[in-house]
Amino acid sequence: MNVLIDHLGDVLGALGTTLVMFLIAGVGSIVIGVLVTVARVSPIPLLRWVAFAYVQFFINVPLLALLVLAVFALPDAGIIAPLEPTAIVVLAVYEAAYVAEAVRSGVNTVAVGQLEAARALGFNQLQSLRLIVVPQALRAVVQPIGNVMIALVMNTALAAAVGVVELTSEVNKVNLIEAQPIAIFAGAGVIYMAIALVIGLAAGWVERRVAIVR
Amino acid sequence: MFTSTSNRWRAPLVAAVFTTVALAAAGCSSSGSTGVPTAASSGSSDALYKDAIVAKAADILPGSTMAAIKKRGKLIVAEALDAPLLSQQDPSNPDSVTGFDADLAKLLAIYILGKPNVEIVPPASETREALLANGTVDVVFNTYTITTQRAAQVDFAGPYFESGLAVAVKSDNTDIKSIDDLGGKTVIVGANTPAVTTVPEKQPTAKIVSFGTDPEAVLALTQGRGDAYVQDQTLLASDALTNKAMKVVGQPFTKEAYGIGLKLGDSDFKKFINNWLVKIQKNGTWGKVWKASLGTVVQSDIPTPPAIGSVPGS
Amino acid sequence: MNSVNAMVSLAGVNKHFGDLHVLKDVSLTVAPQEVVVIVGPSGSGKSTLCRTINRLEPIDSGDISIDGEALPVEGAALARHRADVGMVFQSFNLFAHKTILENVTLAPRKVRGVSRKDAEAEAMVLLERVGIGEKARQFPAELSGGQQQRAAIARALAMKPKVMLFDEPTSALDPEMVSEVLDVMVSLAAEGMTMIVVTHEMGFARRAADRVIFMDHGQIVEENTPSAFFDAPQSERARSFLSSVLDH
Repeated sequence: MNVLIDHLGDVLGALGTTLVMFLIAGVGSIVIGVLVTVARVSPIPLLRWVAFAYVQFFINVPLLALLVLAVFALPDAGIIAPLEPTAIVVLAVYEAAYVAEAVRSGVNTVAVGQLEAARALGFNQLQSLRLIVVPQALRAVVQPIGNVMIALVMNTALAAAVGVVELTSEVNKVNLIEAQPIAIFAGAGVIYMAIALVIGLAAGWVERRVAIVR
Repeated sequence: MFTSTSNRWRAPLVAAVFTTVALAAAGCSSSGSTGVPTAASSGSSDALYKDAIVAKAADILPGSTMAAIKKRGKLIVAEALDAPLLSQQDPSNPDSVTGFDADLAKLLAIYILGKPNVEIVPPASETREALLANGTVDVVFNTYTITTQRAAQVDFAGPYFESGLAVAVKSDNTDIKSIDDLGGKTVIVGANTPAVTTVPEKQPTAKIVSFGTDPEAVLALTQGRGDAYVQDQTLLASDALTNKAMKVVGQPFTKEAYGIGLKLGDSDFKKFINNWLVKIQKNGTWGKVWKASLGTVVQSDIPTPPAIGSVPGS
Repeated sequence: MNSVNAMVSLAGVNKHFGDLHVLKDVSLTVAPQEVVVIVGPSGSGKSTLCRTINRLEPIDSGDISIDGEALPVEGAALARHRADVGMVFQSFNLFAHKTILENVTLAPRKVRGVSRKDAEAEAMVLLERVGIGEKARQFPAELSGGQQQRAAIARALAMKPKVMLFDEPTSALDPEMVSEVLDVMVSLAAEGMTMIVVTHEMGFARRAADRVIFMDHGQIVEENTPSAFFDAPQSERARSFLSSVLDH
């Protein structure tokens, strides 16, 4: 850690970039993931198919390939966006597929009677999902979503390959100067572990607060 | 020796998508030297290896690192597999790794063992110091710039080559003519190359954007993600040969001295390798290796090799 | 029964589960304020019949109308229709993540557009009426089965339904809790609510029903006033059914 402390300003700045990417992409992935799940359990076959295809596509294509495509192929289509926002969008849509899978498993834990009661009371399909099914499904999948968020933090490191100066990119640079890879990458590992630990603890806290007594 | 150019390119960060482009670029290197353990070699390199010098038995000191390597029967080298002109794996023949660094590593193996038995350990993500310190590899041939900070962690034989960073821009750019014009500009560099630290030293106001591989960096430059691409002059020259959308401007503005990384404190081994370097420089082998690799993209005579121990840290 | 001013009317309803013909050409008319109890052996189709009335089970053929309006097939019109038909399930089906009060106020607020304040005031009146006003802030799992079922009745009543469907409302309850739920249903019947009740509680049928319908093998076999049905069943199947349920 000593070596990293010598470069504290730059490392903290890069850590900030990592955290910003995580927060925006994290919120985005949960929102998109829930919408994809709603589409996936909707009564409209086309929506269901599109949602299924979305999840399959993003789960089966490596994130790095998506990042490289977004950064280098989109400019050929006339879209040239700054690197960091591009990486955030790619991370959000990618992790959304995993969020959607987690939420779908949560939907399956919601008893069918809950949906029947909602329909019997006159809720339309969207209200039933929004008011009854999704809130219960989300409560059931706090920990799985926490795990997806931890994976998201680790995946932000891949943005280094497409020019985003986040934590991994910065410690690579520090090592280029200081030549102490074990101390430097162990230090970076500790930082990533700390972030993962905070997310894990936060997920546990949220889960205890929203848990449904059954 | 200032006309000497080399290249330094390693891509520790994964670069799956564009690897093929990099490999294609490397294909112009005509030196058909051989790679991992016992693969067959071809072309001029064969002659190179046949005539290669072998150390006298008396030079292999009992109990030394050289003796241990000889007993083991192979030299373990940290070198890249994706560095065009330097150490590039042939995609159609994975056993063939060619280039300036790769060929020198094989010549060193012959010097110790009498045959070009090399086991390659690609140094992932800046782990060279660790690979040496824990004994995973015997030597590092990895365009390893000698610096005083690094010399506190590892020993350097050499320098065995000197090169310099240069500036490339899009072909239609007439504003940028050298490193002096990069203040406030967005500068593309390769991740884990000397440019990452050198450019901010020379131009503190420049914004640095680093990419994992050379083809990505070239694409980023031509797509307008940066105003300039700073990279080893040889590699830039090679890129510009195949890509008319970019050009190299001005002369190299740094001098990078590359050393052979060794475990810290192994002075016998360092002396042994320095002696070998002097011998292959004197007998012309060094020049032939250069001509077969880096020399294929540079229109100049064989440069004068650097003097052993000539830079701080060596 | 006069079908012109019927509250619920089923005509020629057929329903299959795969090869199984669970409703065979069933016709039934329920007048406003009438309490109809449907009895029969398990597998007779009585629960399925109850669930077709708000289309929780779609039907293969036939017509169903409520208060003179045909039941829509799907969409917003069906949701509006369902809002007018209260339903009480065997397994309560209270929303597990909502308090009892929220369970009762959610549909009036979100479906009827009643303000939170009005919905809560109305909900408290209903919860007091079913005897669990003090449980309003608790979650379903914190209540006994009987209390949960009474909350579910309050939830259905909060929509001011034209008719209430009860699908075996006491079958999942411990015996000592059955009467507290039946008492609520009896008082509801006394107040003039139109009710269709699928149940095994013959005592309730005697006390509260205007008419008892006996189903077997997907058909209405017999219908009569409670006293006539229980004292002098017409069909052999009804007699054997009654002897089996009343004996044990």
